[in-house]
Amino acid sequence: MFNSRKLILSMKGINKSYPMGEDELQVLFDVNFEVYQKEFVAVLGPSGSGKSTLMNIIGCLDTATSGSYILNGQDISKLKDKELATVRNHDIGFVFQNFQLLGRMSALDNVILPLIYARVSSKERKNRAMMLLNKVGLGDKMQNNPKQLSGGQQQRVAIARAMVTNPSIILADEPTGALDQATGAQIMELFKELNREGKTIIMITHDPKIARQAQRIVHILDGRIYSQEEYEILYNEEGVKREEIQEEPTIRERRRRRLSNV
Amino acid sequence: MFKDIIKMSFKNLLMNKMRTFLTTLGIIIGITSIIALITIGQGVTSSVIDQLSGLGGNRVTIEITNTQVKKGFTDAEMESFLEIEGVDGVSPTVRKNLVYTLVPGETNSNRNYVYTSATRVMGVNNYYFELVANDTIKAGRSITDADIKNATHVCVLGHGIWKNLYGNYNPIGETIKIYNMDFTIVGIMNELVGLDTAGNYSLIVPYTTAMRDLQMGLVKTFDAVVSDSSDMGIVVSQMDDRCAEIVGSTKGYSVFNQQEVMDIVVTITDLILGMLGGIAAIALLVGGIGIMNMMLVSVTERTMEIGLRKALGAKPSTILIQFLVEAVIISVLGGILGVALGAAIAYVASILIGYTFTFQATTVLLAVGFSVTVGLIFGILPARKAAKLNPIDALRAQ
Repeated sequence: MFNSRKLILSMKGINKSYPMGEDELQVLFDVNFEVYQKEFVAVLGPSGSGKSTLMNIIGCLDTATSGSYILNGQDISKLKDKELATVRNHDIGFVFQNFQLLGRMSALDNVILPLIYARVSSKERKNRAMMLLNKVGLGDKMQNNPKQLSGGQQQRVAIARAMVTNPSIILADEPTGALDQATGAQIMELFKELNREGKTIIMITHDPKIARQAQRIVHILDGRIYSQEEYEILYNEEGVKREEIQEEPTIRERRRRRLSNV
Repeated sequence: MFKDIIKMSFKNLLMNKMRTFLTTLGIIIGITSIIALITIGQGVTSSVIDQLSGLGGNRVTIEITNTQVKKGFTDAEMESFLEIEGVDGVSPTVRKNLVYTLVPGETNSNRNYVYTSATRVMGVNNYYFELVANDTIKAGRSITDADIKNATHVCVLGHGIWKNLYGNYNPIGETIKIYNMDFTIVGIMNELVGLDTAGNYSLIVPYTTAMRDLQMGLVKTFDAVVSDSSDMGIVVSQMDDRCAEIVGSTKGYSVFNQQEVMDIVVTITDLILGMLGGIAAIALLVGGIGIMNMMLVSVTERTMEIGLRKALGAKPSTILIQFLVEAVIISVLGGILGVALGAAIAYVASILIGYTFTFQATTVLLAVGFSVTVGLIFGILPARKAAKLNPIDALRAQ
């Protein structure tokens, strides 16, 4: 069904390991991950699953130990720090859990910031930033400092900032993690609306309820990636391996487990 | 983009006004002391050189230091120095305290009785006026070659003795008795300033007259005038040889170039200036360390911001430049204020000490250049630290 669409992100055989003294700690194992243009994908996994590492590699903040990563037609795995910065600037819009706005700048200046690094003329960057702040519903709060804004408003500023360079993907890391239920839901609505308008969004989350609002869920567990179908075959709803359950000897044991879950 | 970076740097520095000011203060103190010391030093040195130049850098003084070896030079012996290439003339001086008398009717001094006193009499030739008085004279004329040749009885009054004896009256053409001989007053000298001011209270007569008629003895010391002081070394050594020939010994005389005195003075003032400059440089160094310290704190405080900027596409070089610019802004600001303050101090000092205040544009350029350098040197370490920060770790920092 995606054949007609453009492949915007393609990871093949990505491994990532960190040196730990003399040993190596492998965090990602043979990750294959593809995202097509205009998709809204959720990467769902508990803490320690390697989802942060995966996000850093997707976001070009880090490079894989091995494997190939092609983003918007460009091979990322061989780029230097300087070139990675340019890719982040042009192709990726970050939305962080704790907003990451600069406190001593106005909302407008925060949105303008990526355009300074993109060397856009001062007049044009102001126009673009104002347009986006209007779009996220903060047209009247442009000159406010982040401290004068609510959490939801701050996250809207961050989303405007993420979109201002018109990146290939928007990469959101637990975007509702620091917000209450209602505000979180509004932010999710904003993401869905942006997606309908053609934005490609990758959202990292540990919350299945949030993940379910995306078009497609990819699971990550212990550094390995599974599609929804693969995941359902291997794991039950609680994220426990079915094989292990089958290994359990008695019906009584299963009943006890079921009861304790209630 | 550079304009934006400068704007951002100013904003950051204004966020912590107190801290920025205190850091700038370190540079202000350093640059102020350097500017004040250089300016005061230059002023004092040039004043000293001005005074010393009264001695004349192109003079070589030849002196008999041991009269047992030789009593003094004769005319012919002195004139033989003129054969040395580069020597324009010789200026002998004989000095002796002698009695002089002013007789009313012969001269109209402010003593209206026969006044007898003693003062220094100097026997010189025309070169004396050229060397000591820059060839200028207040009134009348100086002693000429003809006076020397004929050993005429003429006399030039030193400025001080003229004032003392005559007030403002011009006695030219009148007669003064020296050693009971009549001398016609032909000129009055200007007041001498500098180091050689002996002429102010002297009666100045042709040296030939002084030797023959006033019995002031042989010439023990005379100056040779050298036309080109760049050949000084060669001329001096030739003079030394000639002197040894005349004296018949390598001891008992000295050939001494006035330029040496000036060189020594300049060397000493340069040395003192250098030492003071060194101390001022230490102040600047401490100021620079202050900048580094502040910038390091700033980098630590702003770790998250740096991480975010990197995530948004700032290259390591962009971050490096941003922090360097902040360091340079502080140091240049300190430099400019320091120049103003230093110049003000030097100006006040010039009034207090009494030398001419001069201020050179090169000093300003030097100071600003210096402070930019300090900013770059002490800013590079914190800036590199910021540029090298890993964005993942930096974003995680709280």
